[in-house]
Amino acid sequence: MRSIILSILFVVLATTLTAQAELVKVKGKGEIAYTTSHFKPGSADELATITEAKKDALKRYAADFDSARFELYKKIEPEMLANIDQYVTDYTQLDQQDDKVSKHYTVFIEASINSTAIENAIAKSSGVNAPAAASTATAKQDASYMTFVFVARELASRKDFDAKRTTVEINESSEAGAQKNKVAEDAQSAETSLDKSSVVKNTTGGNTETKAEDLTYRVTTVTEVDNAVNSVLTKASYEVVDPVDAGLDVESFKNDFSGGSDISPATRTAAIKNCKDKGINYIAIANMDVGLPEKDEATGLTRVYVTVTAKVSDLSPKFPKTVASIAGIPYAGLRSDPQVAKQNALNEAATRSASELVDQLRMKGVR
Amino acid sequence: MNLQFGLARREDTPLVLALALTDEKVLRDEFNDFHKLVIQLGFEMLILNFKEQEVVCSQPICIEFIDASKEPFDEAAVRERMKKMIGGADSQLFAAVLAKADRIQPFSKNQATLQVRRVGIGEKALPFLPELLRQSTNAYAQTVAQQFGSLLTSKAGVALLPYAKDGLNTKMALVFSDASAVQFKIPDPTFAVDLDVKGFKKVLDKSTDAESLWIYGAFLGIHVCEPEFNLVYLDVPVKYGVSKVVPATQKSVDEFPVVSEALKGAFVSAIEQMQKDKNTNEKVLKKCAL
Repeated sequence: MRSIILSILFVVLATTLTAQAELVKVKGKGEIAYTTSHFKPGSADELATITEAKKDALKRYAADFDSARFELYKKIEPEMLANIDQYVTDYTQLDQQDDKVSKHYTVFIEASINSTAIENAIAKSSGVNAPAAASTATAKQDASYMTFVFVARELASRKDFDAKRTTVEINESSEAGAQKNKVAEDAQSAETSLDKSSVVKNTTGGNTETKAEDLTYRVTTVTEVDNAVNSVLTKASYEVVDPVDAGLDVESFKNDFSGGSDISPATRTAAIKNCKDKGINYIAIANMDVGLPEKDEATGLTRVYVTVTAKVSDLSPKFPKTVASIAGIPYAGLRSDPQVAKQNALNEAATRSASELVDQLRMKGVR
Repeated sequence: MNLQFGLARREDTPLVLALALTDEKVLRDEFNDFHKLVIQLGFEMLILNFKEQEVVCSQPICIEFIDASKEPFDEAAVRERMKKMIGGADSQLFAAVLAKADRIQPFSKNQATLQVRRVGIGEKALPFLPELLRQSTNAYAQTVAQQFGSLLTSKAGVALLPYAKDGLNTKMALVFSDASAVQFKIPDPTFAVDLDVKGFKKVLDKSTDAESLWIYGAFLGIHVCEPEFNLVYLDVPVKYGVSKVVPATQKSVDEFPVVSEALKGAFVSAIEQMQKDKNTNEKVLKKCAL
């Protein structure tokens, strides 16, 4: 008989239920000091406390943003708090406490936060169209074009070198001695003796040379990754140009990343020239290192990590400058099949790293 | 059981109703002249959101089958009994699903939820557990959470979220019938219940030449709270005893079913306390009511 099974879904019944609205539940706490002799339920004080709790819920929701998004949020926080009911559409009052001694009234709520409205507000404040509208928006005359090359690579071979040991040995020896002649008192006989000492000096040393391992990567471009990045950039209202249409030699990027962690000067120079010739202002280059599959102890599934290093360069100045970058951020994919786990991790890495880059660009007002 | 529902537009339905087997225990015991078999199966009837990869709601279901025989139970015998438990319209599982089917529904947007968050197994409980469960108290904790949840939904009709075996990893990995596996996030609950199975105890109540009367007690601690702000609504010990008559001719006693019965009694007492306590009833159970 099988041992205890983690979870087996053995009957699946699809239903004709429709999806609920995109609302996120977050708890919040509001507290006010009242000046009246006792707290009156239904009073303006109670409404003010609930409003404070709603604001607290919004702040708690925003606290989970990454740093770039949080910066964007902070810019519009006062405006959002002033119009809190637009973002907190509903709430459930969980509890309330009336401290009659200190005259403090506290209320605890579970708020339903409209995450789409918050995303729209952030997008609007950073000068781009709201995501919902972006998909149908036509290209503007003054829009900046962006192209990107996201390559995925995994270890194809690894050559380890033995340590090279060089040994130097110096042997020195010396002898010292003294001869003694002794003549007998009757001068009839003589005795000769020799005292001799020898010293052997042995000096050893040397060095060990360790050569770095020789890694070769298998580099690919993945359609799903390109689609995920394209989707994020397009939703953020960037005019995305396919790297082939931008005249980029994707193969040379793949060759460069197969042996190192950066592109060669020749590839970079050619890419920048092609983009400038075609009026493309921004280029995003990313390499995604796919780790080896490992077992997730908690679930028993296969986990694959993908580590992303990415950079967006602004090509409009005389010399290109980096306007957004992320380095070594790991994303995990978890599935029963290693191939699906890898694909899942790549998609997750592509979507989230592109979103992070977009947030950084928005923060700098790049559009 | 092989129900099929048609879909007009499959792409419009991220919500899926599923029945998951989450707990399976086969306990075999050998006594002087007979063999005993206990099969415990725990299920979760779930609504899953495939778009968000999140559990929307759940209803725990526990079924148990006890058998005795002079011959040992082999694999084929166990399989046959399991089939009877879960297959066909007259099975235990079908009856349990029918009884709870009306309670499984997507929550309204203001629906508060309850979750058995933590289960502790005290050292004084261990001597009464079968060897298999003594070695893996996590597996026993899962059973405890599921049995309590099942009783709570039956008696109080509350919206429940599944117990997360690993408290830090609030995800539920489900392996589907086509062998694919997906991990679903269990949302943060509005309110949480922590259970502490402190231990079991037996005392001799009466003894004659013919038989002895033993009282088996289960000692439980229940803590009901709002986890984010740590608002505590109920924190009480509960105990419950059941009696067991042991004939003088019987050399050994299978104690696990007896203490399990006592624990179920403690669960019922704890739920009654939750309902009787005005604070817990008004602020937790009524808010979580379906």
